Amino acid sequence: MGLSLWLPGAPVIAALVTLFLPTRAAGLSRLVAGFGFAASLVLAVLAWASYPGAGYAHMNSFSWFTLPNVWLGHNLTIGLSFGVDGLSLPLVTLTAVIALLAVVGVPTPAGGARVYHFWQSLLVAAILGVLTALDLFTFLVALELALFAGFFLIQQFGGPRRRHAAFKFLLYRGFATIGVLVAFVGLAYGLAGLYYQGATVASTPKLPSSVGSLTFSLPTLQQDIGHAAAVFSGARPALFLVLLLAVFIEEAFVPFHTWLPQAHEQADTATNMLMGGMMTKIGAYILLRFGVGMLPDQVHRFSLLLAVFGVINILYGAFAAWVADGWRRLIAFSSISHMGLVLLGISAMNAAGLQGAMFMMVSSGLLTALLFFVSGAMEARTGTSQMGQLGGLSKPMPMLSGFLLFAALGSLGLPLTSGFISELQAFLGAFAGHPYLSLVGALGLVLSATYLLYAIQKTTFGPAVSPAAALTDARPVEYLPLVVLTALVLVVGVYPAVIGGLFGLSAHTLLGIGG
Amino acid sequence: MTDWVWLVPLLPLAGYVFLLLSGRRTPEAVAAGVSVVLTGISCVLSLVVFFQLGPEPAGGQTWLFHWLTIGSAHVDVGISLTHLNALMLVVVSLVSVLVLLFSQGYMHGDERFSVFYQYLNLFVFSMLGLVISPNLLQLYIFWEMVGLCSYLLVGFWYFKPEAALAAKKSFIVTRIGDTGLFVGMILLFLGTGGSFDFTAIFQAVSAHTLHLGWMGSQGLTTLAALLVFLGAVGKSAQFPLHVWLPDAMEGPTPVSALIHAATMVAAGVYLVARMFPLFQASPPALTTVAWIGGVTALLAALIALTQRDIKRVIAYSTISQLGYMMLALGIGAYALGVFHLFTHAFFKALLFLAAGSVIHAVDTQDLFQMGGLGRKLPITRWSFLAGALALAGIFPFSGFWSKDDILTAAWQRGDMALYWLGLVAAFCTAFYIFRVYFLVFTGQSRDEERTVGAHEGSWVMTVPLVILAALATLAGFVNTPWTGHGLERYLEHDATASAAAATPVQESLPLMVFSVVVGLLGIGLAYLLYGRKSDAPARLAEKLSIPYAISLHKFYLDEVYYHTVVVGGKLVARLVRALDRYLIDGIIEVGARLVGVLGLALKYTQNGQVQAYGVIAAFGLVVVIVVAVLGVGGVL
Repeated sequence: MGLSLWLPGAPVIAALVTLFLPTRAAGLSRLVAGFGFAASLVLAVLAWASYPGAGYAHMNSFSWFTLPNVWLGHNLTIGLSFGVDGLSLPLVTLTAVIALLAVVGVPTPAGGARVYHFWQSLLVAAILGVLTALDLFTFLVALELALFAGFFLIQQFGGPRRRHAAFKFLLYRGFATIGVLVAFVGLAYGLAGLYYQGATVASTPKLPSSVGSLTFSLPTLQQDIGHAAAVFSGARPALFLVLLLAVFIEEAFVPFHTWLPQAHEQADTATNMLMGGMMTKIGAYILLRFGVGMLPDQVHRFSLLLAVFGVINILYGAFAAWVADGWRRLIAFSSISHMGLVLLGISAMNAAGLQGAMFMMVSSGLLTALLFFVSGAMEARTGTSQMGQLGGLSKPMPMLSGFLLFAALGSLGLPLTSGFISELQAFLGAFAGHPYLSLVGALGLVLSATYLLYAIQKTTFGPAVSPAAALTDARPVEYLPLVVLTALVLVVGVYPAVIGGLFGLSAHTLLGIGG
Repeated sequence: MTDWVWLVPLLPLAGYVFLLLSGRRTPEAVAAGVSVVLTGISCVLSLVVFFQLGPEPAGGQTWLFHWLTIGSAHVDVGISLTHLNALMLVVVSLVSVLVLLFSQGYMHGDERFSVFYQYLNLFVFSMLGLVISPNLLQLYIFWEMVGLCSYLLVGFWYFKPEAALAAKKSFIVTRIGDTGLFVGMILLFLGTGGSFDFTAIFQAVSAHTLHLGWMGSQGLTTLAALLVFLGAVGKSAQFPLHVWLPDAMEGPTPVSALIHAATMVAAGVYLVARMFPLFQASPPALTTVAWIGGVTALLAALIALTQRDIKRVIAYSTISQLGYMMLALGIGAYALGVFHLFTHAFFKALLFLAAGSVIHAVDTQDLFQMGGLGRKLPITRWSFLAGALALAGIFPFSGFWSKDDILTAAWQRGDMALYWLGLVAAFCTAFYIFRVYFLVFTGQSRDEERTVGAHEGSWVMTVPLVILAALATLAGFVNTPWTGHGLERYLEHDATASAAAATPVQESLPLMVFSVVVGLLGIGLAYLLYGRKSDAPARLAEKLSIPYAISLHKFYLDEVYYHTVVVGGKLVARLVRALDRYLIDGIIEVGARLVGVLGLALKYTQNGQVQAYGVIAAFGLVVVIVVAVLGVGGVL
């Protein structure tokens, strides 16, 4: 038995415990949620430390029930299975870190601590579930859970227009889930069809796995579908495009993005950290795991499409962030711009590009969480996140202003932060694949400096706008998220090999070279 | 013998870390003392390295550590010691230690005194790291770090709106150049088959193996050189990206002396020098460097003629002098470009610190509020005069040797247009710097209130002035015909420079005399207009109103950029916002209204019961299973 089950399992238990807590013990449910995330973090570190270096590890599998004779004589076993590999380990760890920091550093919003931490725990569990799922069913369950948990967090604990934002969130991401579902079922049935063909038509090439049955198992599908490019050609583009549509919605890529800025504008700070930090990386994870991992020929085939959309998102996100009135909207579009670079990196289908995309997921996660945390802390004090109403905050809050500047500098890709090494690798890959498009995308470097420093100048520089006496700098408990996130951004930036080894290996594995 | 060279950048880093940890309330004497001592040791070590460095193999000595594997390429970080790098270590650490000392007096009483020193230490570390980088990536990393320090220090007085704007502008404008360098670096990495190393790049260039699938060797060499040069244009404030440097004068004056005169802005020149084999392999790139340099030298000198702010005059002078260095590199006079960088670092740091001393005394930067300060600030006056004579290129001050060599080289290579650009700029230079000298130090005070109490600062401010004045006077002798062109021969040890030095400049007495006469004419004109009480300047400005306005308004370049790049960019951004709001989101919103039934149905389910939500979630899962097993499967 591996420990992967308990990565999402610990916060699920925490969620269940909160249900049985007395309503009035508000602090207790926060504590329980915190313990759940801490347990996940400890397990993630253990899993990382004992990771054998290749393939899936720490696996758990449970079968629940078997549907007999579902299709062409195949049975289908429904169950849950979990495991981690080089791609998911850093992302899992990052999720647990951000979750723990969010629950420790951000006060519980008004409106029911018990309910809030119930859904918060489930959201974290769901994201961890998505990242550890080794089975299509498990993956979908987790994705679905993330959808609902996110919905309720926004809908109940958000700002004045929370209901509108929450429904948009639900409808968009719900649609994405359906896309993922269709693509998954297509993959599974497609492979089952191949097995059937293999059993009846002698000339069919042998597939590496010997399962030979309708299966939802991720490792099996990965192995066999990857090898079946020649025979299973007809449905592959359709499946890939459906999957891609889902990825675009999940990632909030233009033109399927409007749910994200609105959700971020309404959600509370901790939810924003989770949503911006990890939830918006799920789409890229799907693209890597199922697109590059199972349908690499299709990624090659639609490489130009991906690159074009990557560049569009880099620039669109940057321009939209430039005219954003408030920090929340700015961070949302900045995240879209980052993820556009992830798409551009993946489109190149080379090791540097994939590695850069993975780095960018981690980096964007850290920096988005830090940006939301600092701007949220400032908003809690000043009552607004609108740049036009802020100014001169360096005077009353030098520390928070300093961390905001740091997060902005990381976000614009300053060397020795995680942002730079991610951008560098993604562009190294991208220029090898699509030089001219990458050149256009490189404009994003100038634009990100423009919109971030513009916002910084408006917020922290200049004469103080609001009466400074009432504003206090960071409280001791707030230093934990500030310092930890900053340290992680620096560690990845100064010594990128800490995650470079695992990601390099995963990139090679996904591309089918070496590993 | 030079294995410990890593200590040189590390000591200022230790200073940075110390001040970071000791906090804002560190006593001024401690903050300044620690910084001066640590950087002072760095300076001594740099001098030892400089003199101990013997003839080395191509590429110099290197120490490397593995940093990251990207794809299948190993990327290292480390230290590379060439003669050029050793020279830069000396220049950077020497000017740094003097500025650190001066700042103790200048910044005395500032609320964030120790933060100032913290940033300065980080800058010194980054700048020293920059000049000993063994590969382009590490250089780029430090390149951005010095840019960050510049940003922080320009915006040091963050509560001043002008400082906030200037800091942002300096970062963004240089970022445009940096993006060019970034892309150039990536193309070189891909073109060499996976290396950022200078030596690997130079080998690929000389063997004509630099190539990409879509571009051959010659084309890629030129493209990469031009992109790298774009980075240098931004950092060294060359036309058309020079607009940030004058604004950066909003920072404290010691910062202007160290970062925006002597060291960081020279990094662009250093970059071209460091990557000289790449530029040599591409005649179009070299020509571009020479012309950008020549045009910048004259353009900035013309603007400097009419500025009222003492620091802005010197800032334009810096841009102009960096133009000379680029010009020298562009015509292939590698060692002369570096020589001018060397002398300029001293006399320009001197001019800025002297200006700082003046500003410290009278608390204004407006030249027309000064006057007659020579008697009250004698040390400042005489040291400023030494710097001004060096800048004006008057024999035997340091600037004479380096500038005259560049002009001679242009003449002897037959680049007559560049020669005349440089010469006219030299005339303007002599004029504008002596305009400052006469306005500040001679005649009568124009604002008694400000100047009445003016006095010299303490020894921490005057000692650096005197040392720099000595250097500004004498530094040129490292490379004269009488001293056997010592610097050129020192630099020849580097493989990068030996090819460039194949045709050394022959000093020509007529050319020397001619350029000194031109300089003296400039000084003379400045004396006629500003050395005596007269209304000639005003009448001249009236008579030449159009050229005067063009110079005063900096050729209207800021306005041109604002109305094209900034307004254009914002227009695109607003279009994106409109598109976002009305088209993309509009369609969705209308569509959602049309199928609003779903929303309505869900609305009634919100009864605040957690259990009910759980049921809904569970229901969703059941739907998933049912659809998966029965519905969608049949489609395929």
